Amino acid sequence: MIIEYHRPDTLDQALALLSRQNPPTLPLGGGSYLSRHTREDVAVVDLQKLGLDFIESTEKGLSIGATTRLQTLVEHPEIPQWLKQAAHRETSANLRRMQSLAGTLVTCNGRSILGTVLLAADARLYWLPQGEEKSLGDYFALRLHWNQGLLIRSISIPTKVKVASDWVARTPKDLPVLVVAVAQWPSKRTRVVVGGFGNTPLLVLDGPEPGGVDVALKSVLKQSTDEWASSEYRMDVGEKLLKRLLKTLEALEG
Amino acid sequence: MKITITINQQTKTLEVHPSDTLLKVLRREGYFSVKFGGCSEGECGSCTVLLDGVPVNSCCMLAAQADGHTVETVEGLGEHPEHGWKTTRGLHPIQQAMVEAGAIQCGYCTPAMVLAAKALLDKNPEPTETEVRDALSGILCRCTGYVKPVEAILLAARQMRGEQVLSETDGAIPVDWKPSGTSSEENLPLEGSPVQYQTRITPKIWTHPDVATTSVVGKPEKKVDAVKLVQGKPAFTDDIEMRGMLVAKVLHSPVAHARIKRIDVSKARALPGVAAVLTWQDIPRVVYSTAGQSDPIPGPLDTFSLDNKVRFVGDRVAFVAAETEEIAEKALELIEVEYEELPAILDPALSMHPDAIRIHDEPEYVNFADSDPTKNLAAKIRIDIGDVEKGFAEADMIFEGDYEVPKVQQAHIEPHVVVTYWDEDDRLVIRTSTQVPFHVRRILAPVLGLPIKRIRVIKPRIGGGFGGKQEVLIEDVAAHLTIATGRPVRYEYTREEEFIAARSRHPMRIHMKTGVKRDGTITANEMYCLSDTGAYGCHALTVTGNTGHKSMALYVGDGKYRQSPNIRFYADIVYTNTPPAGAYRGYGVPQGYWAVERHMEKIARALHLDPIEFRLKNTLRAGELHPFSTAWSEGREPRPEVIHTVGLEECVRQGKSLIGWDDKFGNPEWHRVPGRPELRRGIGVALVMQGTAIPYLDMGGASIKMNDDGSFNLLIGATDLGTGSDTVLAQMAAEVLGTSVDNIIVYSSDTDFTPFDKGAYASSTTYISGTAVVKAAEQVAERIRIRAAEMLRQNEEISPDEIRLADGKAFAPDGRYVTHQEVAYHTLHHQNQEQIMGVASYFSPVSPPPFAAQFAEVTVNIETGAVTVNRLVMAVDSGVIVNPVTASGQIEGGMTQALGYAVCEEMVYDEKGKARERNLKDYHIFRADEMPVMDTIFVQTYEPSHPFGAKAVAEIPMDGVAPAVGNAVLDAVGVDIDANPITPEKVWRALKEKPVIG
Repeated sequence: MIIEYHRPDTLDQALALLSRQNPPTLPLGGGSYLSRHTREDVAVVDLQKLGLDFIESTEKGLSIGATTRLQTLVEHPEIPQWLKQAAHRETSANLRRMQSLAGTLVTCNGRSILGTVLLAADARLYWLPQGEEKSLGDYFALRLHWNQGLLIRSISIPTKVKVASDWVARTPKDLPVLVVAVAQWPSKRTRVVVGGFGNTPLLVLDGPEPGGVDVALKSVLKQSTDEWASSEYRMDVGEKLLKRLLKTLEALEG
Repeated sequence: MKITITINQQTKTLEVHPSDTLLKVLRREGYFSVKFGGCSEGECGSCTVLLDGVPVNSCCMLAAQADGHTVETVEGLGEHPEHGWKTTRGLHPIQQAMVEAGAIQCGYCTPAMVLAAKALLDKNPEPTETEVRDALSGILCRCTGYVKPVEAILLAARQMRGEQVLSETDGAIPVDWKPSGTSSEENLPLEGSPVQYQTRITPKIWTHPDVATTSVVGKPEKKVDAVKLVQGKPAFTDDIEMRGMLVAKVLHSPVAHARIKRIDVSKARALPGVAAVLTWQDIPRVVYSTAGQSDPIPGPLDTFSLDNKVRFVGDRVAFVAAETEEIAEKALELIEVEYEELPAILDPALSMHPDAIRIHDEPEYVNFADSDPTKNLAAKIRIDIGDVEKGFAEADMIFEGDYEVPKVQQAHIEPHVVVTYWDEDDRLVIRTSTQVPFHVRRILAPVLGLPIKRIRVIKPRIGGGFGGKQEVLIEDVAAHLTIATGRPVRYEYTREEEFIAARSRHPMRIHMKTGVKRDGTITANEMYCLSDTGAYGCHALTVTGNTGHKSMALYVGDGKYRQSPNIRFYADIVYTNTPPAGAYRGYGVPQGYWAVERHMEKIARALHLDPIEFRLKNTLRAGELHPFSTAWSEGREPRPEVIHTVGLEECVRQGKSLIGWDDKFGNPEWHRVPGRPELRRGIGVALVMQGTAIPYLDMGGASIKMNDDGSFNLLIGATDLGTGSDTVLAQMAAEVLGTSVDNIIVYSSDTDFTPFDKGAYASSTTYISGTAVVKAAEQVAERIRIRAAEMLRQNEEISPDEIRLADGKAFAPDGRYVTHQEVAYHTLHHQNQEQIMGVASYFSPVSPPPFAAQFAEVTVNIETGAVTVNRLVMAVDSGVIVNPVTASGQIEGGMTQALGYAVCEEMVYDEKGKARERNLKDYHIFRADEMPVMDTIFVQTYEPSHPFGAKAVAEIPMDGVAPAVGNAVLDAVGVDIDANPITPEKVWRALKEKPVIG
């Protein structure tokens, strides 16, 4: 149960609260997860007054504030189409207006299209208080062991990258059973990520070009059988989606 | 902690706990328009409020987060236009449009939709349909199929922009919106499709010449409860606060099958704030059935409120009542239970194995008919009509096939909820969201140790039921706890409890065997059904009986076989250690039609016959005997019944025309999508029939009294669970009484005040309760005519028979009239005083079936197996349609539920019997922004056994969508999926076996 609620005015105040061990203190973005998911006694730090809902252009692309709502991504003119589409598909209209980008990444599982796409685009998380930038992939890999007291300030995404994604679900808006996302930089660096199962999306390939990606894809999907789909299905269809996406990227300008 | 929120322009400082959700605080403050859908992750959106003008789900944000912000609820939006001398704002244009467009069925999600629409229109006064659907995507509706809510918002937008709106029934309007597909298929141009039209507010109607002209019946009257529901008035079970009310919680079993060796509740009882903890040791051991059916229950008695054995994951172990929900949940954690685990049967095919463990070994078990707990057999059906073996012998070809249907959930947005309390006379009041208030009272009386007369059941508005509330499911929990504590108790299921501990549609494995002549004449038809009732046998016999009774009755054969059909229906309904199945809209029939209509399609194609002509050659026709009427009647004595009205051929004609069947079926060009080699289009059909009430059993009652102003109180036991039945009953009363619907004040249902009605199930309300209403109204009308004849008498007598009632007046043959109000004053105050009133009841000797032709159009991705349903067209013969708006709402909502059955809905259990689906994210029901285009056509025949020619409409839309989609997939890519839902992997596997060529 949430036993304390704090709404600090400054980042320093927030970080001081978050560094407490007793009671365990967690950052509260939109609240759509924490308001319903706490069996143990915790304190929450509401980030709404910290000015973390911003979208700024940087040299490498865009810096998106941690509490930026998914709907803002859908509507903001500077957000690239691939990210708008993924944010829109992530959840329904009401929840898009509640869920923060950082909160979505912290709580999502492998069936998140947004998480899959951002991992493909090699999104990076800017952490306070150290001021370190870590890749989303590193975070997903270590999420269960992440230290308390840290706070995501922003998420950086590259804009000079082509990203395409596709997925399969039972209905147009159902949770996907398979997601494939491909990102390609002007240098031909290629990242391929799969989702639709497991605790987080999984990186298939990050290489100077897409050679061998089909083998890597099968390797990653080989153990993907769960209650929603078989690995056999995911391997076969994943390969087809990947081929289609690589063709799509080839056809895209820039 | 204290927070300050401006709610509906009033600033309030409130004391809240840091863990309180905004929903909880708003409801505590009396904003009952904000609803709880039981969900844990904001899936349903019925709790939507506007936070600083933006729609958010108040169930998954903290009240503290709203500190310093503004909140809008529907209470602040508009109000009833008549508040006596005080001028009111009236309804907001969005609310008004929702009422006019017939967008409100149960009304549970309506306030949320109104707010989402307001936020949209405040920002974007000229939205497209796509934008409207996106705005509604966070609010799940299980009733409407979203057609009319979307149209209402577009209508409101036009009105708010000051545009002229022709009327609320201005027919088909071209729209920009197209059905969406999977990611890469979105915005796919569907060349070859007709211009995309949605069925607007009123459906297309074809009328048989026999249908008489009426004044009120047949008109799109506004729902009598619409104004109340659109304002979010406290109309539902949970919308009350009572002093000292306790919160109930149930400890559910974590194991599928076990004896409770030891249960220790001492720590839970000692927890401060806990008022009662009950186990099987604390309450009387009374065996009963939870099935909400008439006496005698046509099924085994195999259930106890609490038992020393648990039979599925989710079964009851203990009840707790506490001061708060948090304390109640803490108390559950403190209950210590030692289980002696027993082998669990999860596969129904193993239930009757000689070595299988016995699930019901309690000595109190009461058999019904052929139930046999020693074989885990809840019910058994063996029906032979004609000479089936002779029919097979005479066939040129025999076709056999196996089909499977899954367990699925009703998923009404309002969870099961009940409030119980002792009234001032020490009578137990049960305020409950039920379809069957009178059955609740009768069934619970012995369970609670009370005589029936000491129980009063009140049914407020219901937020959807679909059969899930034709069950005495949770009323006993609260009632036992009220008896134990003497205090009011509230118990409401969470969404997870709905999935693990409520009822569902029976999963079945069905074998079909059909004998056919080369010309397509069916010579014999056989179905064997292995039906899984789960841990308890509620509705076991009757649901599965209807699987055969309705779906196997449609195809009787042709020629001599038509005169004497050969039909066999055998079924075993077995216990397993899974959550019990029960009643779900369609009541066994959708299961049957999945098998029958997939099977018929295969036969037609194998014989190279047109699938529609083949079907129509063999279907039941007017004047023929319902083949099952001589063999089976829900466990009671069968009586022969002739079918008088069959509009099936016209349904086919109308449906084919609208969907463009002749241009598409068999046209290879149409089946391909230009520029998209991985996609194929397909078109499919299914013909179906249902029933209308249970003959010689279902009974409804009505009473009507006349008021001083010429209005009438109509008291009915029938339960409107969002279907609009209160409205159509009022229309029928108004028609007979010669008045308007707004002069009929409907009150339903309260066991103390309204006549008995068996409740809302079996598609019976319009037919059975409606006839009772008409009979009561005729009594009242007769008294009005007699009095009016006296009042209008001049020199010579006027016969009451010559008095015509219309427009709130009683007319003499010469045109003179007295108003209903004048008649009322005359009878109540002036002369020979009497209360004009009528009371009547009705049961039917027949059950005239509605018929329908269901069409579906799909696009299949041959690489991924993904199926996108692009369009559904349903042409329905439901007799005369009393209200085309509410009736088409039934069809649209039903088709949407059935669409889920076709492609995504199923409940799956692991090897321990634990449910995969526990929320509305994993159990996906269709959202507003992913719907196919849907069209409804009514083919109005005149059913002579009903006063206005009506048959049923509520259940039939559940029957044909899944097989029509299955048949369309076959048409698209040439593969048969015989187990629904048709998931991408199933199609992919079938395509691996049989790839698309070319």
